[in-house]
Order: sequence, then structure tokens, then C-alpha cells
Amino acid sequence: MNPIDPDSPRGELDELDVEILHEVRWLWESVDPVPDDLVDRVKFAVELEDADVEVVRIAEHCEVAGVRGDVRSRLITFAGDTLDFMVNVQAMGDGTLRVDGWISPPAAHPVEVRARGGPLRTSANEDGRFALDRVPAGLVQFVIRPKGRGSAVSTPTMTL
Amino acid sequence: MSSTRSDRHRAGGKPLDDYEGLAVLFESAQRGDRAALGLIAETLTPMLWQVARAQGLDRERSADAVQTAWLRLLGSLSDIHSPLALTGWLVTVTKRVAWSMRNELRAGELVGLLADEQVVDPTPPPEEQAVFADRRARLWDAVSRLSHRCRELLRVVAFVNRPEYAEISAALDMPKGSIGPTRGRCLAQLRKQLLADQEGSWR
Repeated sequence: MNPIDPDSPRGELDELDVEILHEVRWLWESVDPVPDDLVDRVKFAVELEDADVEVVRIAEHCEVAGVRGDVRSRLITFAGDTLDFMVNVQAMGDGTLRVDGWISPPAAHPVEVRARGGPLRTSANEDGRFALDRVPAGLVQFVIRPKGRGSAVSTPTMTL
Repeated sequence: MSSTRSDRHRAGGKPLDDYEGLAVLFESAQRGDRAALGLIAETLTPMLWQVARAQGLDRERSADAVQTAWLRLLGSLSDIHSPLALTGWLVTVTKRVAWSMRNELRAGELVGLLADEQVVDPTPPPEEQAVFADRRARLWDAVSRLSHRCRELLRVVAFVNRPEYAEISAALDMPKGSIGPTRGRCLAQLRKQLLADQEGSWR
């Protein structure tokens, strides 16, 4: 007498179960594959030196075709608990981006744009505005370190 | 780990076996080695992607939910005591972030975008051999008949190694014993359906 049916939920995992799970993985990898650049975006993001990070979420993301065909810009709005901000990212057609940003509530916070080739730093003015030229296109992460606070406010890494 | 589609087909979607390697990387990551953390991210991100997607979030937001979990981890790494606990922590946070994004969308009355697993297109790529396509169609059919929670559990568990099954199951709020040393209810159901399918020859 066998007290436990080997095919039942109480049976121990066997090779067939392992094989079935391998096929389940294969199934989901093919019907809902992880985006090609997600692992790279995550790896880039976690290179951030800060430990205490508030991640803002993307509240709105729209693309605007420029007057000339080769210039496109995107307007991305980020919302967080500490602050909100908006960036207008313009592709200059030479592999670089121009970034114009507005922080709300406005304050002269330090702003870092992490991109390939290293971080670019500037500061917002008293009206919360900032601008950076010649940001390399590719993986980009915006990090604001509000004055008087230990934590950083960061966006997810995006491909821009 | 990145692999091409044809690699994956050959290997049948084999999860990583190097659990001990992960333990070594985890120790380095805790000492502040961000490159080690990046390597852990390579291993766990595909699984976390499935966690986010199983909450019914679109692809763009699912990617953001996964990244948000990793960035939040930077502040919590020192409180996590083992690689197993790390996996559980990331699953819990990814699921929570995905839920809050989804609820926010619902509040904005964008529910139409969120049909459960609206994505899924089980049509095989054209280059796939007929035998694989048929086997996958049968598997898909069996998976589709599982309850939502069982489907979610097996979808996520399929991306990790056996020592992590119980931790994942707990992080997804499944009842104790859902999967682990024993097969559990969900996998038993799927197995039973596949074994009943003589033409699929799963045994």
C-alpha cells in the first residue's frame, strides 16, 4: 500500500515536474518575452551610488515630431512623493540630446543626468528650471538630490 | 542571462542552476559591489518581469515596476540576510509596485488597457518547427485552464531554481505547501492535464 499517490499534490517533485516547469518557462519566454533592453536598463540603474532612492513614476510620456523630420522631442512627466518634474528631451540628430527640465515645487536642486560615458551634472535655478546639452543618446537616468535631504529622487533608466 | 531565441528553444528554457554562484554574488553586492548586483539582476530580472506582467500591467509599466523594485533594493540590501530572502523581497516589491501602478491606472479610468494578460499571443514564430508548435499549443491550452493564481505561481516559479520555490510561493501569498519539496496543487493540476493528453506524450 502506498499512502501517497506519486502524481498527487503531496508527491515529491520529480524529473517530469522539472521538465514541465522548463517548458512553462519556455512558453512564457516566447509569448511574453522580457524586453531586450530591460536587463541592461536595470544594470545601469543599480550602478547608482546612492542607497536611499525614491523612484518617481512616469506619469506621462509623449513624443512630438519636430518641424524637420530628423528632430524629435519627447515630453516626459515624472511624479513622486517628494517632487514632480518634467523633461523635454530633444534629439539633436548627431547622437546627442538636449534636455530641458522643470522641477515642482521649484527649488535650486542639484540635477544629475546619468548616461553612457558618465554622469552630467547641473543645478536647477530658483524657478526649478535646468538644461543640459550634449547628453549622449542611449540609456539615460535622471537623478535629483533635493537640498537638505539624504535621499535621492531617481527615474527608472530609459532608452532615449 | 541573455540568449537568443534559438538557444532557448534548444535548451527548452532551462532555469539557471548556479544557485551557489548567486550566494557569492550576493555577499559581494552586500559589501557595495554594484557590478555583482548587476550580475544578480541578469539572473532575476526575467523572473521579475513575469511577476509584473502577471499583474495585468502593460509592457512599458511592467518594465518600470521591475526597475523600481531594483532601485528600492539599494536602500534595503543590508537588511536582507540571504539570496533566498533577496528573491522573496524582490518578488514582493515588484508585485506591490505593479499593483499600485495598476490601481492608479484604474483610478484614472484606463481600465480598458488592463484586460488580464491581454498580451498573449501563443502563435509560434514562423521559423519554429511544427513539432514544437504543436507541443506548445497543448501546453498553452493546459496552462490556460489553470486558475489565475496557479497560472501566476507556475509562471514565476518556472524562472527560478528549486530551492527558491517555497520562497516565491510565500512572496506571491500562496498557501503554504503550494510548491516546494512537494508538487503542490497547481503543478499537480497541470501535470494531470498534460498526462491525460496522450498525443502530447509528456510521459
